[in-house]
Parts: sequence; structure tokens; C-alpha cells
Amino acid sequence: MGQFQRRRGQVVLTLDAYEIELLLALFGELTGLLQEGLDEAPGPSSSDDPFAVWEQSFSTEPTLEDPDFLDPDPITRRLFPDAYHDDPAASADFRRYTDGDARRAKLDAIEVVLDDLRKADRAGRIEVPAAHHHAWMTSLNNLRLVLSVVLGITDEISADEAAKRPDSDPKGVIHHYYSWLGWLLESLMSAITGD
Amino acid sequence: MSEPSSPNGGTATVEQVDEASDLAPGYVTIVWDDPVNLMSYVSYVFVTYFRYTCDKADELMLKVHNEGKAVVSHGSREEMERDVAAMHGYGLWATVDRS
Repeated sequence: MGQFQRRRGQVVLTLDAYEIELLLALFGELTGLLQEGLDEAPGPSSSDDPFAVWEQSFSTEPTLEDPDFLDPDPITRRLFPDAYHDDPAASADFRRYTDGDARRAKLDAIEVVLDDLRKADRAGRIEVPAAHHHAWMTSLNNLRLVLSVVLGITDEISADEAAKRPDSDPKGVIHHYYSWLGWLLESLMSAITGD
Repeated sequence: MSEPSSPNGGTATVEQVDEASDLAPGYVTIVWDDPVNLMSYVSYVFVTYFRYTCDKADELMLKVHNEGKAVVSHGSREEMERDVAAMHGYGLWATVDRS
């Protein structure tokens, strides 16, 4: 099973071909999901039409009246939770001002990870420079968060139930990925801190 | 990963923050317990982002785990919104509240 290790002061990730394919696929899905939200949110656009960008900045600003904006889907809610516990208006304001940057930060981090994954040598070894540690850490954790939503993990009880699913259950397989990501994350932290 | 400082130095820094918050009513960042984030990861985030000592970070992480939540920083509303955005960036469940 792949893991991060510290070798001669350098953090090295070793994965087998299946694990690399799996991570590429999972991060690809997450990129699509984050990109989708970005397309809906106001912000710098890649459109060639400068007027489209200009127009967008006036017309598609999400507001409190927008029901989708107040009730994002469960995965979005987990990746971008409310910033105020009992103040929906303040939370909506916070979301409005931070959502675009927050999404772009996650997308940028995933891009760093995908680039590293594509650089694996024939033995599946990937040297992860210190400047990429943060991106790996947060991206692996984001994947875990997304899978936890898919698995319906909201508390200790649902976490135990998810762990008991048989391999014949598709969610049982997802739970294997979820556990594996946790294990990878632990190995990355150990490799970084030298424990 | 932690700043090279003595345990006493770390504690004194944290006490100064507490005293400041007593003088001027402000805002706090609260981190809430969740069943997904690894305990070691939560500690790692507190050390990395807030520059807390490992001991202080572990203490806060255990408070989150055992009591369901913990105040992890004090300051102005803008500062706390910045901290909360950073915590969300790491995938922790954090909110701004009045101190």
C-alpha cells in the first residue's frame, strides 16, 4: 500500500499504478465539482468576451433571495461550511465574499497534486517538494471530506456504520478509499514532521 | 514543525491574547468537532496556521474532541473571518462568534 516517507530529508510518495489511477480519477471528480460551483459564482472568467465578464459582475451576484445560495448541496456545505453558527445572513455574506477565492484555492492545490502524480517514475515514486506539502495535505483531506458525505458520515455512529459495510456494497468500496486516504494523510504528516 | 520556543514562552504568548480579549470585547474563532478530520491533522493545522506549540495545539484539539468545540483564536471580526476562512481551507468546521 502506497505511503509517504522521508528519505534523505525529502518527502517521497510511493504508489502502485492502481493507486495513481485512483487518485487521478478522484481528484478529477473533485475538480469538476469545484469548477461547477465556480462557474455559478461571480469572479474572474475565462471568457474571451470582455463584455460577458463585465455583465456578469452586475447580473449574477448571488443574493440572500437565491434559494440555492442559502442551501448549498451537502458536499458544498461540507467543503464550505457556514461561517456563523446562528446567523444565516452573516454566513451568506461571508460565503458571497469568500466562495470564489476558497474554490480557486482548492482547485490550485489539486492542480499541484495532479502535476506531482503525473511525474511518478516507473517505480511509482514521486518526490514531493516542501512547497507542495500544504497542497497535498489539504487536497487529500478535501477528498476524505467529500467521501464522508457520500458515505453519510455525520457522527461517530454513522462513521461506525459506514465502516461495517460489506465489500459487495459500493459504499463499502468507497469506505476503503476513505480509510486509505486517512492512512495516506497520516503518513504525509509523519513524513513532514519527522515522527 | 513548531516554532523553536520553550513551553513557558508559548504559554505566555497565549495568556497575552486572553488578556487582550478581556479588555476589548471582540470576536473568537470556534472549531467544532467532526467525525472525519483526524485528530493528528487538527493538531497539525493549529501548529501550522496559528503557530501554536505542539502542546497547546494538542490541548486545543483534545478540547474540540472531548467538549465538541474550542475557541482557538481571539480578535476583530475581520481577523476572525480570516481565521475561519483559513480553517475552512484546511477542511475544519469553524465559525466566528462574539467573545
